[in-house]
Amino acid sequence: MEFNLSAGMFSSEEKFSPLDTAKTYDVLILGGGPAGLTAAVYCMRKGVSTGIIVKEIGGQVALTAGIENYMGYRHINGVELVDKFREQVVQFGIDYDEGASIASIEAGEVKRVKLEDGRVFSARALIVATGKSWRKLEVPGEEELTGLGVAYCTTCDGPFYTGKDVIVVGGGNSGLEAAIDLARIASSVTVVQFLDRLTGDRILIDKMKGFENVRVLYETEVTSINGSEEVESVSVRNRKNGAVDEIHAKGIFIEIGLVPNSGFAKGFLKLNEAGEIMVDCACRTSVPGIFAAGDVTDVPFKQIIIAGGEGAKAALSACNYVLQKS
Amino acid sequence: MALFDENVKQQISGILKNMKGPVNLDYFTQEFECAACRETHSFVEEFAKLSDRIKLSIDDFQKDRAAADGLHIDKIPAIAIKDGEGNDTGIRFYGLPGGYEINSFIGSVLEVSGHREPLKEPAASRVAAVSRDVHIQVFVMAT
Repeated sequence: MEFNLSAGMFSSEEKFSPLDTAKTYDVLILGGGPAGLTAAVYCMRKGVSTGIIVKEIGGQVALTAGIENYMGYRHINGVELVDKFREQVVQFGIDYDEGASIASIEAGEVKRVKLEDGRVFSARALIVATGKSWRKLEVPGEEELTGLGVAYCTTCDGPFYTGKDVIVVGGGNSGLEAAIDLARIASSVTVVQFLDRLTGDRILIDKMKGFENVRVLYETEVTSINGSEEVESVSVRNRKNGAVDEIHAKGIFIEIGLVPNSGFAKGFLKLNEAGEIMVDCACRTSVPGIFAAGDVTDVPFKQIIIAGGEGAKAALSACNYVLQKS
Repeated sequence: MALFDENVKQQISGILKNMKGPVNLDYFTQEFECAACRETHSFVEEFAKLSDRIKLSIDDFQKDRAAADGLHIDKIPAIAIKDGEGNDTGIRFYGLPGGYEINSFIGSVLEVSGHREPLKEPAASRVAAVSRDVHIQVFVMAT
């Protein structure tokens, strides 16, 4: 009989001390995904005073079902992997804050991080590892009906639409994977694609086309999501000929990519066209003493193991920076 | 063969050091144990050894029917978790708490030992205001 003991669950609360506004940390890490958590382990092992500001621990990993390309685990689910990351960080007794959002950051000898709730934290060096969030359509009805038929993650919400008609917006890999997941359980899947062709991998396109209950509407955009208490239908418009239609559906999965959580850095750190924080190979940003790692940066590939590696680099760079200054 | 390997034994003993007070485990089985009762019996014996603060009593579902009825236990193997004074908490584990359930089991033992996690306001007041019997069933998906 196997026992899947999560020892981390039982670490006493004193291990996670609250983040202190009165303290000037050596390094403050913004973000609790694989990049941020790896950076935390590296900083704590170096013995520099470290704090971490986490919005949702694990970031995108916590919402991933099956992971098969993180070394050491042939197959592991996202929540389990996040638990293991958390256990490894908790053992160091780091100062920790959870749930808040970052409003702005200020450079100088001492960097200041202001949260949306008004609290300000200080550190000699910062590591920005705030990752990415799902891109929104920004059409009427989207916000109001989020959680009531509007969803962004089939892993999380797919099962609620068993036997129902659903729409998937997006023809890239995320959209195709969502369509495939849903085709197995939904009554029908309509893929709404902005362009005149699907942009995902051939293997996924072929797999999706194997399902009889999936149809694709090309050169089509969503104009509104309709329903009073839940999604009832979705209005679409053909971009080529202007034809409009209303598709009855109980669910709409928006899979049009991810945006970097770098809004607070705009005009302050150098960003690329996609809004990602630009870094060199030592994870340095355009501001001395501010480092960045993971999906929020312009690292060309976004993978858990890459984010972890970048987090380690950023931590070592930040520690070098702090130790050289003192 | 022991259910817990050395590594797991050490981890669990370490966690149980955080117990704030004693806990009583009441294990219901019967004289002719099927595989499930036998395995769970080994489990409670091994588990109780990992802390001085755990007291284990073994009851017979047939012979101690009054005790079983008193605790509303209608199937075995059953583990009833009672506090240090022997008062029932209502917490039951039917079957072996293996796999991920070991965490719920340990969590329950720690909580009953004194690590209360009280509900925060306004939830606490809302729950206190419930004025009729409510039967809640939670269904968990294994994926």
